[in-house]
Amino acid sequence: MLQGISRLGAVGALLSFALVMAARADDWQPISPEELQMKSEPKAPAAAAIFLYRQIDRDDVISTEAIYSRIKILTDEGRKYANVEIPYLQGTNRISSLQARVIRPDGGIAEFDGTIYDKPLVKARGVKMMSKTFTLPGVEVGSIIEYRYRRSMPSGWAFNSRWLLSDELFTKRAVFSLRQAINLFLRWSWPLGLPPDTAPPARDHGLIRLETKDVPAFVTEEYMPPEDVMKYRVEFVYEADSSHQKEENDYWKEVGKRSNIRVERFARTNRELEQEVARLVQAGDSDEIKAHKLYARAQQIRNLSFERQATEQETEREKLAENRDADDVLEHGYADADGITWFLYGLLRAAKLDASIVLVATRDDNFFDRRLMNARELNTCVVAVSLGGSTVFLDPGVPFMPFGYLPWNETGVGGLRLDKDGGQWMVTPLRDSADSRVERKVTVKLTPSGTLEGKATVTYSGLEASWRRVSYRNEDATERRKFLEQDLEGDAATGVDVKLTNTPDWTSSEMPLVAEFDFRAEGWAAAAGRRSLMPVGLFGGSEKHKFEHSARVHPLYFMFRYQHRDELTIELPPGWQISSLPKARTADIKVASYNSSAQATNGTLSINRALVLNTIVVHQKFYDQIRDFYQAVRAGDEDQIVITPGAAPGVANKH
Amino acid sequence: MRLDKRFGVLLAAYACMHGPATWATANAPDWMRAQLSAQLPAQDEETNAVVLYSEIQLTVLAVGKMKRLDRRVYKILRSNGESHGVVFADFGSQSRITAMHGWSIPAQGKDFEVKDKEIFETGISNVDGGELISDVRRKVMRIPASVPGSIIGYEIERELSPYEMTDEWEIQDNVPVRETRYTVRLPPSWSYKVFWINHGETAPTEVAPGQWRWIATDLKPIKLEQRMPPWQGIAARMVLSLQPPDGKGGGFQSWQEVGTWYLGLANGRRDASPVIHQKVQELTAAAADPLSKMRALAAFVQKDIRYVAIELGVGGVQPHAASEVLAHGYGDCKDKVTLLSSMLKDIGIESHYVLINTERGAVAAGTPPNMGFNHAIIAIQLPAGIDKAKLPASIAHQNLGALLFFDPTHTLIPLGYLPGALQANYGMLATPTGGELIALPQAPSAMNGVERTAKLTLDENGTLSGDVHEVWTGDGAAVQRYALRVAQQDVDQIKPIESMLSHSLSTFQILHASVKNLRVMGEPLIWNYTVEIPRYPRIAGDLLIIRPRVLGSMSSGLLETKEPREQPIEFEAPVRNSDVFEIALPAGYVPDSLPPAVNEDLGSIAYHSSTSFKGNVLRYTRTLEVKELSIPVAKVEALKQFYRVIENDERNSTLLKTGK
Repeated sequence: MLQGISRLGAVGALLSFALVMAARADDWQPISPEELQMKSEPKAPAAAAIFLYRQIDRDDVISTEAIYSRIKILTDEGRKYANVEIPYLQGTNRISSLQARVIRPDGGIAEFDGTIYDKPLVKARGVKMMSKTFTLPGVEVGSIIEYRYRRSMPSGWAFNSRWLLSDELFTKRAVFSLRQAINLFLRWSWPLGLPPDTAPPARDHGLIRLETKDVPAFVTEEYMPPEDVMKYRVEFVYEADSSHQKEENDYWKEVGKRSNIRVERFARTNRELEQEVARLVQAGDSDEIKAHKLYARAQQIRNLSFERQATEQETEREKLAENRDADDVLEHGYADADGITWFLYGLLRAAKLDASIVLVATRDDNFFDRRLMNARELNTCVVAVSLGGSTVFLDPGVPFMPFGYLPWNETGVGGLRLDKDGGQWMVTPLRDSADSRVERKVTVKLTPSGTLEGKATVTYSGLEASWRRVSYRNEDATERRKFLEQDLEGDAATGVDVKLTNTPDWTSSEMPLVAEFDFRAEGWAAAAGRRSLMPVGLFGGSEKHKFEHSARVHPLYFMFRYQHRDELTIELPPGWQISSLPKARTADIKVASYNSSAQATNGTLSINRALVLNTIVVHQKFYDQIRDFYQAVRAGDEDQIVITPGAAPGVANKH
Repeated sequence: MRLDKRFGVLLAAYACMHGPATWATANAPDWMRAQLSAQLPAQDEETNAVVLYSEIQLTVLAVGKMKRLDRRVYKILRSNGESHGVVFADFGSQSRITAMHGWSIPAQGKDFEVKDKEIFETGISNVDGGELISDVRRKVMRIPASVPGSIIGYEIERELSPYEMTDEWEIQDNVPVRETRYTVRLPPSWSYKVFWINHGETAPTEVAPGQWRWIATDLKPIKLEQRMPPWQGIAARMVLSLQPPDGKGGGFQSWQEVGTWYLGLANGRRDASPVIHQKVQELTAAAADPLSKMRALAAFVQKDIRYVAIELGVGGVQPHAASEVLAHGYGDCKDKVTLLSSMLKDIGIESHYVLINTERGAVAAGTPPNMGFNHAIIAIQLPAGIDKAKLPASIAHQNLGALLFFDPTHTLIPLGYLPGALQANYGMLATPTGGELIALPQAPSAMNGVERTAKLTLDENGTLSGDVHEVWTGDGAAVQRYALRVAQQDVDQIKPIESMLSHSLSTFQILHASVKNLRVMGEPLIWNYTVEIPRYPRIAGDLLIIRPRVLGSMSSGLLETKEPREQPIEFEAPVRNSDVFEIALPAGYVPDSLPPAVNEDLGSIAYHSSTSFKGNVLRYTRTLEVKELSIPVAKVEALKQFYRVIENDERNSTLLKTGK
C-alpha cells in the first residue's frame, strides 16, 4: 500500500521536529488503578485481550514513526500477545528505541531486559525482510504488557500512509498524529467513516491529529466485503507538489486528460488498423455486427496477463518486444490485458464507431472512492461503445467474457470515461441475474431400491461460465473433469455420484459451458414403514450452511447476481404411486427469491427449483431477513414426497 | 496491468525484487540428460509427474561430520505437476546448504539453469503458534519451464553436523518413482547398520572400497488420503546407522542409548531451586493427598507456563533449566516437562521424560532407534494408594511400577487422560538406566465424546421446542473448550452449536444457552440450550412426517470418494457419542410405523439406534463407539457401508397419524 511519491530536500534543517516527537513517544503513559484492576471490558465481553491504549506518531519530515502499544491480558488465550514480532525491511527501515515492560495486576513493573531476536523472514537478491522478535516473561491474566519503538524510513522520502483504527483487538483508546512532509501536497480521508464519537482528523500545531476510543475488534465473516474496505481507517495520499489540483473535480480532470493522451497515442488510427478492420468487417455490417467482430478479434490476441506466470528466465528468453501502440499489438499478436482493451478501442475507432476508454476500479479487493483522489485505484479499463442508442461495455482483456459482459469485479463500479476534456464519471452496469445462470436438468429413473439413475446436464452461462473458464484456463482435461464433477456433486446431496460424459467447450466466450453426466444418487428415497419418502431438493448443497449464525457485523457481499434453476424428471417404477406431494414453496424478499414445486403425471415426477439472487450488497440490518430466507430455502429443499410402492419389491433402506 | 495470482506471497515478493538481467543458457548435467530416454514408470491419468531418477550420496567424514548430495529428476506430466518445480530445502544448526542447483530440459528449446541469485530464503517459525524463533530456515527455488513435457531436476549439497550418526533414505514419493539410489562412502574401518521400514531388506553393492550402493526401482506412489497414517508409518524408508572404529559417537544402536544421550542433554536441568520449592509449597498447600498435589502442579505448568519455543542450536532438543522456565513463565514442551518433573521431585514423586511423535504411527514398535520425535511429555511414577482406575493414562511398568503419562503442553486435557493422538502411540521413556520404547495406553471410549439428551415437545402448530443437555468429555471437551476460548466476541461462543444445528435443521432458533465448567478442566464441559424449531414436521396429506433424529450427525462422507481407498484409516481417539431424544407428541397423534432399529458392529466401530413410542413420547436413542484406532484397507468397504447405514438412519422418518 505504501508508495513512494517524491524526494524531499533540506531534511537536516528539520531535525528539531524529531526531538519534539521523541519527547512525546519516549515516555511511558501513567497507569490508572482501573486499568490494573480491570477483569473484562463490557464493550468486548469475550475478548482475550484489548488495547488499553495505542499511539502512532508519524513524522514524514524526518521519516520516522513512533509506535506505542498497551495491551491488557484478560484470559489465558490473550497471553499470546506477549509474543511480539515487528517486521521491517533491512536497509530501508530501522527499528530503534525498542522498549517493553510488563505490569502485574498488583502494579509491580518488570522492565523487559531479555533478548530481542533479529529474525530473517525473507532474503533474496540483497533484500532482507527481517523482524524484531521477543517475548515478555511473567505474563499472566490481568497483566498489562507495553512496548514502544521507533521505525525509521529512508531519510528524505515520504510515503502514502494510513491510520488503521480497526484492529483484531478491541481498542479502548488510540491516538494518532502525522507531521506532513514539506513541499508535498497531502490529502486525507476516512472512507468508512469514523467510530462513534470520534472527531475527524484535524490540524493542530502543525500536526494532523485524531483520537478515538472504543473501536470494536475487527472480525471476519462469510460473504463480507473486502476486509480493508470494512476497517475504520484514515488514508493519507501525497501528491508530488502543491501545484497539483486540490479540488476533486480538477484533480480528476487532470488525471483524465493525461490518461486520454496516453490512450489516444496508443490507439491512434492508422493504415494498419484500418486494413485490419476492413479485413474483418463487411460494408453492410451493422454497428453491432462490426463491434462483435472486432471484439472477437481482440480476444484472439495472446493475453499475457492470464498465462501461467513464467519465471524471469523464461520471460527473458522469450524476449517479447514492447507494444508501443495498437499497431504493435496487431503485429506481435500479444499484449497484456490493458493492451488488448486499448487495441480493441483502436479497432472500434478505426471502424468509425463511437467508443471510449473507461478507467475503472475493480471491486474484489477495494471499493473505489473518488473523493480519495487516488488515481492508482483506477486499476484497469474497459471499452464503452455506443450501439443502437445504448452503451455497451467490453473488456476483451479478460478471457472468456461474452460480448457485452464485464468480469464481475468490473461491474457496478465507478469509472472515468476518458475524453480530451478530462472525462466523465459513470458507473458500469450490473448484469441481471438472468444473464448468469446455472441450469441443471436431471432425467432419471427411480429404482425399486430407492436409487436415482440417469443423466444430468448442467449449463453454465454468462458470468457463471466465464469465471469457471478463467479459473481453469491453464488446467488440463483431467483437472477440468474433476472440477465439473465436484462442482455438481458438491451442490448435491451426499451420495450423489456423477461422471462427465461429454467434452465441454472451455475455450468459447459466447457459448455456454455445457457439461453432461451420468448421474446416480444411491438410496435417494428412504423407507418409512409401508411408504417411502423422497426429499424435493436434490441440489442445494451450497445453500445448506449459508448464514447459519444469528449474529452479523458486516454487510453481505456477493460477487454477482445469478439464477440457479433445476429441473428433475423422475420416472417411478411401474405400479408406484405418489401418495402426497408437498405444496409449492415461494419465498421472495426482492433481493432474492426461491421457488420449488413438484408435480406428478403418469408415473413421472417433475420437480422444479429456482433460486435467484438479485443483489450484490445487503446492509447488515437486513441480515435477519436474509437468514430467514435461506432457512426457508433449506426448509423447501427438505420437503418430502410420499410414495407408495406398488406390486414391485418395496423400497428398501438406502443401502 | 492485471496479473494472474498463481503463486504465493513469497514468490510474488521475490519476483518484485528482480532487476533486469541477462541469462546464459546452461546444459543440464549428464545425470539429468541420461533420463531423456528413460521409460516412464506406470501411472494413471491423475499422475502429475514421475520421478525418473533420484540419488543420495552420503560421505562420512568423521564423527559429527558428513556431506550429503541429493539429486532428483522429475518428468512433468500435467499442469498441476508444476509444483514439483518449486524446491524447498531446510537448513539449520545441524545442516548447512553448500550448493543448490536446478535445471530443466524443456520439450522444445534450450535447457534452463537456476542461478544462485534466484534462490531465496525464508524463516519458517510460527509466532502465533508460540514458535518464537528457530534457526531452521528454508531455501526456495523455482525451476523455469516446470511445465508438462519438461524434465526438471535439482541437486542440493549439504554439510551435516548431526547429533546422531544416522541418515535416512526416503525411497517412495507421492508420485511413481522409476529409480532411486543411495550410496554411502565411509572412512576406513567405519561400519554401518541398516534398518528397513516398510520395505524388504535389499543387499547393497560395494561399488568401491568403503562405498556401498542400494538401488530401488519402479516404486508405487503413496496416495495422500484423509485420515491416513503418517508418512513415516507407511512409506518405504531405509535408516542407516554409522559406526566409527572405536564405537564412540556413532549412530544409536538401541533405544537405551537414545535415552542415555537425551538424559545427558537434560542433565542438571531439573535441579531444584529455592524458588521452585517455594512455588511448590504455595501450589500444594491446600492439597490433601499426593494425587491432589500432582494435579495442582500439573495444572500450574499446563496453564500458567505459556508455550513459547525458542529453538536455537541445541535448544531444539535440549530443555531449558527448570528454574529459568519458572522465572520466565514460558517454555516449550520439553521445558514444561522439565519444570513439572522438578516440582514433582520436590514433593517426592519421580518422573521421566517421554519423547514422542504427535502423529500416531510415525514411530512404531519396529522403528529403529533414532530421534523421530517432535514432542515431549512426562511419565510420573505414581505413589502407592492412588486409584489408577480413574487415571486411564497410566500403565504398570515392569521396573517403575505404575506410570502416569501426562502432556503439560496441551492446555485443555487434564491430568489422568492423554490427548487422542498420543494414546496407543509409542514414546521413548528416558530413565537413569537408559531409554526404552514404550507403548502408551489407550483410554476407554466412554471417556471421550458427547452424551446428548433432549427433551422436546411438539405443539399443535408444528413447533418443536425444548431443552438440550450435552456432556462433553476427553478430546471432545477439549475441542469445545478451544472453540469457546478463542471466540473473539461473546456472540461467537454460540457459533459451534449453531453450526451443529444447521447441519440438521433448516430452521431453528436458540432461545437460551449456557456453558458450565469452561475453565474447570477436571470436570466435563456441559452445554445447556433451549431450542425452538418451527414447522418441524412435514405435512403429507393427513399425515405428519417427523424425523426422530432431531439433531447431530454421526455419519461421515470420508469414504465417498471416486477412487478406491489405498491407505488404512486412523481415528484420532477412542470415542463414544450418544443421543437420547424424547419428543412429546400432541394429543391424539400416534406413529403409523417406526423406523427399524439399527445394530451395526464391525468390532472396531459400532452403531446402535432404536426408536420407540410410549405414552405420547417418541424416543430415539443411539450410540456410536470407536473402539480401535486403525481400520485396515481390507475393512474399508465395510466401513463405507457402515457410514451409509448411519446416514440412512439419520434420514429415517416416522409418519404420524391422528388417532382421534
